[in-house]
Order: sequence, then C-alpha cells, then structure tokens
Amino acid sequence: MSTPDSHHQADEVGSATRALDRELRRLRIPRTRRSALVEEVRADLRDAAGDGLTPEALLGDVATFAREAVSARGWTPRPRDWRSATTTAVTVGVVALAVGYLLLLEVLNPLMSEWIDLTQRYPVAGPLLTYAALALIGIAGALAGFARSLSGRPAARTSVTRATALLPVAAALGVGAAMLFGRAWDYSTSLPVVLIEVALVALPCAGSLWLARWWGLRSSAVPAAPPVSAG
Amino acid sequence: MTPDPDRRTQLLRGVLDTCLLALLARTPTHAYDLVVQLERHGIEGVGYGTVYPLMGRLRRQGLVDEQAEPSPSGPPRKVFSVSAAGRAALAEWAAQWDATTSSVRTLLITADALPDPEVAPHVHS
Repeated sequence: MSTPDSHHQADEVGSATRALDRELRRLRIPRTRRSALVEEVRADLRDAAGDGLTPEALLGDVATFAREAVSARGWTPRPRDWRSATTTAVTVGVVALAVGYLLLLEVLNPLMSEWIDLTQRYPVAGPLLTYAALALIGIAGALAGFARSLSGRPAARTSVTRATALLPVAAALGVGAAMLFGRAWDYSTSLPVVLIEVALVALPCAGSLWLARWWGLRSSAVPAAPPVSAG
Repeated sequence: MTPDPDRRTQLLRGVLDTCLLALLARTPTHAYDLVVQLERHGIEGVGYGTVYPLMGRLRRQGLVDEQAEPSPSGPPRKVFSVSAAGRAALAEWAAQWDATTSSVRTLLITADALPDPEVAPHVHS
C-alpha cells in the first residue's frame, strides 16, 4: 500500500533522476546510453529510499556524479559550450586589447617619451615590441576568458592547454592576412575594409578556440583499458 | 590521536576495485548493494558516488559482466557479475595486496612501529 512517505520518496527519486538526465543531456550523451544509466541509478535510488536514504545522500552533487559516471565509462561528453566559451574569450580578448592599447600607447608611451629620449634610435624595435606586447595582452585576455567560461566543465584544463597552443598561431595568421588585405586596399580606413580586417583576425581566433574545445574533449575521453591478462 | 579519514580514503582508493570484484565474485549484485556490503565489512565512507563510476570503469575494462534480472517492483534490473578476465584480475590483485600488506607489516614490526605477534606480551604483576 502506498503511503504519503512512499509518495514523497518516489517524488524525490523522480526529481533526482530527472536532474541526472538533464546533466547527461547537457553533456550530449546519446539517448540510449542516457536512458540505460538513468534506469540503473533509479533502481538503486529506490532501494536506498527503502533504507531511508535520500537521493542527495547517495548521489551528492548530480552534475559531478554525471560527469564522473560518464568519464569512468569512457564516453565522450560533448557539451554545447563551445559557442559561449568562444564568444566570452573573443570579447575578453578584445577588451584586454583595448585596455592594453590605452595603457601602452596613451599612458605609458607619452610618459616614457617624456622621461627617456629615444627618438629615431629604435625605429623598428619600439613599435614591434609595443605591438607584440599588445598581442600578448589580447591573447592572455582571450585565454583567461576561455578558461573562466569553461571552469567546472568537462575537459576544461585540456581545452585551455590546447587553446594556449592554437590561439597564438591563429592570431598570427589572422593578423598576417589582415595586413596583406590592408595593403591590397592601400591601408584604407573605410568601414567595410576595417570590418573585413577585424573578421580576418577574429574568425581564425574563434576557429582555433572551437578546435581547442573539440580536441580537448576528444583527448580527455579515456579509451577502454585492456583487460588484465588471464595468464 | 584520532584516525585521519582522508588518509584512510587514500589507502582504500587503490584497493577498492579489488574489494568490489571480490564481493561480486561471491554474489552477483547491483551498485547500491555493493555500497551496503562494503559498510557491513567495515569499509565505511565509500559512497555510491564513488562505487557507481568505478563499476562503470570495471565494465569498460571487461572485468565485469551485466545481466538483466527480473525485479518484483519494476522493470528488469541490471545485475553485475565478474567476467573470466575479472576473476583473473581479482586473483592477481588479491595476491598483490597480500604481498604488499605483508611487506609493509614486516617493515613496521622490524621498525618497532607495530608489536611483534611472535613475542608473547610481557605481563606485569
């Protein structure tokens, strides 16, 4: 016979398994695998409820439980977070670049020029160092935004490590392409030309971040270890 | 000094798969029952959140098989049992555990960190 207590327990189990299903869906685990895992856990939660244990006591944090169960089985989680992570990274990178520009060229440069007279003595090294520093600031900002956006998600660290290698290459290629394009248009500052130059830099950067996330998730999926030899 | 639970967890971590295979070799069962059995054997504090993913790993490694078993209260239930490779792994890991604990015990006795069971305790009158 069902009692109010058993109804309450069934509600708790139902709510916990729905939360687990949501987490697995968020990790983009295929439906058949998801259903099998949720069914197993549901049966265990029912047994535990019979012993007076709540789903929370058994599972702890559902997101962590889902991640660990998925990782232990060697399934590859494919969360749909690359778009938000890439958008955050590019935005933070642009902001860092703007702040760096203001700091280096509008504040530090006049200050240094006032204190130290290097006019005409370093015609190439000075601008080169300034632009290299600006690029580093932008890349560091983008990587910080990428890492912050992926914090607590599967394969976050691996994805950021991959991005650290890929983003500078993509940025260098993008800047090179933008410079060639600018020269072809006689360094025009018309809006369409500037927008295309920005796109030539931003698109490879965004692509490299997407690639880093895909690669990070793929390499963090552990292949099944061979069984222990029977010999 | 009170025992450090974190240290105990660390010590158990490396041998938990052996314990699970041993329990399953005796009676095929499901993940929650394994948690209950661990507690009954004095291995407390190992939660379902640890045991369930570990069962997933053992399955992936081919050390555990699964069968559907009819359940009186709902749809058929998955029950785990040890595969042939799992039995071989269990024999190997149990022997490894025995050799390791014996060596550590001998070292601790030699270093007087543990009492020597061969020596009769001195009775004070």
